[in-house]
Amino acid sequence: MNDTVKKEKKLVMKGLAAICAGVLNGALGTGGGIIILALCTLDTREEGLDGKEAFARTVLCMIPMTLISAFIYTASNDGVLLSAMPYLPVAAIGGILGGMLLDRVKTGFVRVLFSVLLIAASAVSMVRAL
Amino acid sequence: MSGLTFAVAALAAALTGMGVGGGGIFGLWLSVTTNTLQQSVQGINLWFYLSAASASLTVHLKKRSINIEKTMYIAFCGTAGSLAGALLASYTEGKALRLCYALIMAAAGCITLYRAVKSKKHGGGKGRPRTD
Repeated sequence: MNDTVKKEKKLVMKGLAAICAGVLNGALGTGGGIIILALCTLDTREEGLDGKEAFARTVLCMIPMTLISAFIYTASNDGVLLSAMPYLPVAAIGGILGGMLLDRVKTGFVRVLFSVLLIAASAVSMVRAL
Repeated sequence: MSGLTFAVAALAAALTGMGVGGGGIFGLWLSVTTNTLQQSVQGINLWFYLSAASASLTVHLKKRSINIEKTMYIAFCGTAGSLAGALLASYTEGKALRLCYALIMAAAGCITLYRAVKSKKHGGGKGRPRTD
């Protein structure tokens, strides 16, 4: 297989993975970031850049994806944006703080704690859904 | 908004900004502690993520120059998928969505835990970030 075909195949696979991430993000309102981060990490590794660059690119990709989903959810239920309003300033302040802390904090322990919380909360939510 | 929900929202937003992945946990919190419809929880979560991510992006853009051209293709394909996914959600029953949401979040938790442990074993304190 020559290089051009390989590159084209890689590009198609990347596009399909991004579409899957988008479907997940749109259908569940979350979750697409993991796939997008993996795709951006592949790119940044090829370019010899660090994981933080991949994260920044992921955020950039996630914004239009999230925006289109948010508009569709709001169009089908106009109370969504109104209900979200009180949380938005908190989210913006937290987001800035998190962005500033990214280079200063060792995230290893936070990630373990976050994962355990996520798994526990998911279990509770699953029980409630059944 | 109760004080506890306020605290969870602040924590989740900070985690989102740090790339640890806080978007999902806020949605789960709303899903578990309130009687809000699942579609509404997801919609609120999307606006919440948008606000936190946009704010953190301003910090990232100041710190490093992101290659916007490289992200365009992924962003375009992802946005097309999001459009389809959001339309799919509007035709899906709330209970099924809640179950899928919890399953995906549990999977995300397991992946993050695995990566964090793996990264620690290899001596990396500031492991690879993730997002929702």
